[in-house]
Amino acid sequence: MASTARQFKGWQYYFDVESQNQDTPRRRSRRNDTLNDSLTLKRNSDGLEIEIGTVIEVQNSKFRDFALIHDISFGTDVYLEVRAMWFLRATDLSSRLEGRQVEKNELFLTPVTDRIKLKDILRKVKVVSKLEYDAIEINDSNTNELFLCRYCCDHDGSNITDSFEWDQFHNLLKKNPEQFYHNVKNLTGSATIKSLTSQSNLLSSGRKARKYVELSSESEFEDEDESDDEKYNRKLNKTGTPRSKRVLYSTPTSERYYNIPSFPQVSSKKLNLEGMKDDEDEQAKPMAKLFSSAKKRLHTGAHLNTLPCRDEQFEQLYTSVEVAIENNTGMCIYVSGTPGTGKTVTIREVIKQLAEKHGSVFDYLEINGLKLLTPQAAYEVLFTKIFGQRSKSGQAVGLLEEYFNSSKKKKPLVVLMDELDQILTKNQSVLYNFFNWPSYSSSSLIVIAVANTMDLPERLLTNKISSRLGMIRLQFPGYNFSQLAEIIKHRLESIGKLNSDKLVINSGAIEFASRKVASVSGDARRALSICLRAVEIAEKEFVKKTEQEKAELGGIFTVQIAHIIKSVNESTSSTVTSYLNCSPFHLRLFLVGVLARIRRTGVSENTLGSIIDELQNMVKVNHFQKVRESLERENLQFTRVIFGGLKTRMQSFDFILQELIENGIILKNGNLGRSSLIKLNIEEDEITTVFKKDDTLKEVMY
Amino acid sequence: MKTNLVDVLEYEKDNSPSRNNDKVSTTPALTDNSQLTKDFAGEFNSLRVDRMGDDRISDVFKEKAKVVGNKSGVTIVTNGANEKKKENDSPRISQLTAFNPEEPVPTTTIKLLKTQVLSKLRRNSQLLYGLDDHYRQVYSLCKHCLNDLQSRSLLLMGPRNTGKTSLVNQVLAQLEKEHPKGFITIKLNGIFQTDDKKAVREFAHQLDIKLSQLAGYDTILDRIVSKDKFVTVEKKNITHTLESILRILDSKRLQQNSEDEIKGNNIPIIVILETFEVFVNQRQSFLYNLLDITQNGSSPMSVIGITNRLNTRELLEKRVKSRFSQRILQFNKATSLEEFTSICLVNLLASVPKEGQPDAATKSYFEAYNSRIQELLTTSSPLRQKLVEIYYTTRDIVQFKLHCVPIVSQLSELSPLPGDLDSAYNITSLLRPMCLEDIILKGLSELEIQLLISASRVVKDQCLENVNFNLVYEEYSKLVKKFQQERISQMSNFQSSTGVVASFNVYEKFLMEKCWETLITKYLLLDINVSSRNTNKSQSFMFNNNISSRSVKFYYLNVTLEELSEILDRDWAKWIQY
Repeated sequence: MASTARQFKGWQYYFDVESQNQDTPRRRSRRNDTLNDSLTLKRNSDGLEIEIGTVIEVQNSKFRDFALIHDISFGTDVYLEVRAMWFLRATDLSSRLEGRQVEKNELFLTPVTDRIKLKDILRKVKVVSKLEYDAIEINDSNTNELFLCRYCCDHDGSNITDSFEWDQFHNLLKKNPEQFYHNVKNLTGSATIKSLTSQSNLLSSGRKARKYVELSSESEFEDEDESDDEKYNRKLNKTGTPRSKRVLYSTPTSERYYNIPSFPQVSSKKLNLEGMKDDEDEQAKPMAKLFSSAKKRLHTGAHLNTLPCRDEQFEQLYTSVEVAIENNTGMCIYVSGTPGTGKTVTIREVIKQLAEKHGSVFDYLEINGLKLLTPQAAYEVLFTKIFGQRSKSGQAVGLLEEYFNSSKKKKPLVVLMDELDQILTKNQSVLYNFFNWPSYSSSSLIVIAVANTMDLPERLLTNKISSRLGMIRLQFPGYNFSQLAEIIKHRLESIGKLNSDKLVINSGAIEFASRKVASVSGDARRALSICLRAVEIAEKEFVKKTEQEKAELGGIFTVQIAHIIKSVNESTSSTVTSYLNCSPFHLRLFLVGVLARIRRTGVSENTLGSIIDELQNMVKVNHFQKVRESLERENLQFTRVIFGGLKTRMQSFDFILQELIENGIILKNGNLGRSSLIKLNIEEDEITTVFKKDDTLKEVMY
Repeated sequence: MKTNLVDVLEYEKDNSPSRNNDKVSTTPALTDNSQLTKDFAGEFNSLRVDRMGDDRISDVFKEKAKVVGNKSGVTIVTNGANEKKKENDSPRISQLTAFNPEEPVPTTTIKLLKTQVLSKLRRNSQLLYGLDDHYRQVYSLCKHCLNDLQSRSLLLMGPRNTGKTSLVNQVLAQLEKEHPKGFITIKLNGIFQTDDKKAVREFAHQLDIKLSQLAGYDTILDRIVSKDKFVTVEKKNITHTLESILRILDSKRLQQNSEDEIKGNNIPIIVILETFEVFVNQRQSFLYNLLDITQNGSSPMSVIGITNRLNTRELLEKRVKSRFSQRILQFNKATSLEEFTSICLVNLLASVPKEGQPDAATKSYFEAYNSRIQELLTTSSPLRQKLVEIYYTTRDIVQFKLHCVPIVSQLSELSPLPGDLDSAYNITSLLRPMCLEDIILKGLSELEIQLLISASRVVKDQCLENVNFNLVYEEYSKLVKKFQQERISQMSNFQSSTGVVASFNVYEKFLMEKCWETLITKYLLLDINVSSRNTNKSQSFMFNNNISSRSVKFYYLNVTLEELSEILDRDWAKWIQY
């Protein structure tokens, strides 16, 4: 850590050099993602270089120890921040080894992190895995430089984990320091073997995936100089992403997509300016963090490891797509379900897992009907995917037809067609083609069509298309309340562990929210956004609390049903009612006139002229005692206010009419002055309930 | 029609800061505006010279002219130039400890106050009053987007002139102060971006501008000219434009493997959609895409919609609705007369200027003005009556502000404080929009009124929906002939003492047809085939047609006989009642 630039003197920093060589926009955008991670520091005096993943020996007046650097970044309150995780020596925890065999130079990784001062850094040491360690003989020349690490443990030496391969572990760190840290923390935090295995599945899946890479590496990578690990990293970047996928038909990469500008990458910490600095208050800070992590988890965009409550659909999709890929055949699947029932996310998960299992034996493309401006553009997208070139849609159809019809062996292509109803054209040719191609014997095209309505094929599509759609249909029913509750709880589980239940959402509150949503739509997005908003409301309330009240809570804050209710009300409260409550007298009078006319004629649409006459009569016949009185208190005459010195229409009549139309309270049909038709756009009851309470309208509301 | 035009102008003004670099055709309108400003500044100066003379009548006349001028110029006496004046003038102000109505107030001080208050009254944006909670909510939402890089969506809803747009603009200005260049704002307006394609194009265009600004260039052109390798988001082809927007903002779509790689963009974007209902009325694909980005969390983007349509939420398609947080912030008009009064008061009060060291005299004058305004608004006065009237009719704050403009601009050395001068209030009556009565009484000749009455009689007697000229002319000549006979009989019996001078001759058809056309141009007769918006077009077409087809064409009469009898005075009773 160097809190000022001055303390940084004697050091240099630079970013990963190799990235500058390949400066296409495409590469740059990815490069930038890991900008912070590739920061390397160099000491001028002896050329010592440190970066993320380096193990260093640290010494100051009090202690001398080893640490693993897991974060180097330009900080907000300090110039440069170096964070590291401490190691424990085998000698430090001899009492807790419980009969484990340890080597002399063995280190134990702990999840305890600290900021490291640059001046305290002594030197770099090498840490290796067991295999390597065994291969090297330890003698006096290297005893201070070579260490073995294969276990993690807690800060006090408890909870020693199963052994792991250092190299692999180390790679994870380089790839994703944040995740690495949490992994270590989780590993050491829970002692049971069962949770250990589940927690470490990220590691094991990584191991598995690596094997697949090795299997397919000859075809995928010409560059044999790359080490396996680099390949693995690249692989992770690449799997399934269309932009980096190799296509069967080789074309110059640069032509494949249009250049697009990239966003300048700003360190998110830089943006955090005041917000974080202000609350130095140590008590408030962790709570604010908790709230923000809870909000992040509740946001629909949050990444999930598993999808609760969609196992059945997942299973079905997975098996049918897998079979099709393995057999290299074409297929259509129709998936339906109301919005927010997890259709798209389930399909993506299926593809992701298939990609992990099979490597890149298939391609994947997403076409969203609403993300295209015309249905025909779907051809262009598919064409670009397959041939890597651009083409006009008209030309593309022909070429695609030829391509799918040819007997040449093709790589299976999975196409997800979201919002299917938007790709519909009048003669339905686009859909026809997309469902026809899979039926060709060697097309290897798998189309997963997604739409909201179950009977879309029967309702909108002609028989020739719906017959091609096939029999595989999958229905995603709306979530019921227990499923919704499970989804919410699942998302909050992880933060519950981290914060040792300091921020709790009352289970009653969760149930209320899920029942509320389940009764209407079963839309998971809706349920989550209600909870998210409730957490925000609760946070606001928490921040307002005094120190004493905060202390009384004992560090535990619960989101109550009341917060959920408030959140629900924000999105369901009747806007019309509160608008009418604030409406001026003339506007009310107008609406009363419309109502009276409807009652008189029994028809919902009445001419403007008749309403004008109705109002005219109403004002003449009724006294409006209340209004009169309050106006007389202001020395104003009733008729003067009503007509504004005119005789035939209310004052500002046109203004009111226009406002009502703009606000969507009434609909006006036609432009022919008095003969245009006026119709209420809201329920009559909504008006009457408000106006019956208004005693100024007592005479006309009955 | 006229109000619509003014609306458009206002919207252009609203958008002008963000569209400085825009090629869109708003520029002529803007230059037009500044031209007006210049013109008016000239007038303003000449006024000042004139006022040295003590001619009060001319003064009032000039004020009138000024009001008219103001209406077109909208914001004239606002910034820069006037502030300079303030600084120059302040040393000359004489010393006064308490305000004394007898002693003259220097013109400069009055001008200072007038400048301030008038700019307040004419400003397009609303002063926020009683919207603290709303402000906090919008602010915290944006802050959230900036700090935690989280996406949210919100809809501001409420009738016109309740401060929706002004509030958003203030929040943005505040954020811009706190995080200069820390985020991107994109403003779209349904009035300009009438369909999804235009919206996509404009979105890309503004994104380009903002990105170049972030990279340190003033305009896109600068950036293209510079050596910096730069490609725009906006492409020639609209499909590609949409694609490139989605590719930089919606990285999740590209199937990422693990969470840490989804980092496509971490610059917060705040999208403001004014006249939100327009985006709702179509295929909603633009909204779908925007809201989808906010939901899948691939880039930190918050969407704030502004609308005055209360049922906007119901108009959203199901899948769009599901992606929208459905959070609504409602703006309402004042609920009580007291609240309305205090809103009006806020708009009318002056605050003692801070710069240029105001002396005691200025201060006391400003205070005297404030207390006078307070008195006018809270106790019974013409201004108070106007306020109550507006409260009962529309509760529209802009209407009140308009009424105040002449009152404030009439302040002068002679009357440093607003009094009960009738002239000021009379001017306000001119500001009333044209209504049926004005059109008939002030805009029609005697023959035209005769024809109008005949037409309404035809409608009434024969229970017709529509009338044509031939029918009406027949009725007209019938009536006139009857009156002629009556008159002859009267003449023979005794000398008429009333001395009715109206000659009862049946005018020829071609002459009456001219009158008929006047009625059409005044929208008293509406073409049943063409909507009134296109009437001008149909008229030019009509003049080319031959007479016979013109005289049989049917029109809808937009006034009834009853209404005419209310409007017209007793002289016409004979025509109506016969």
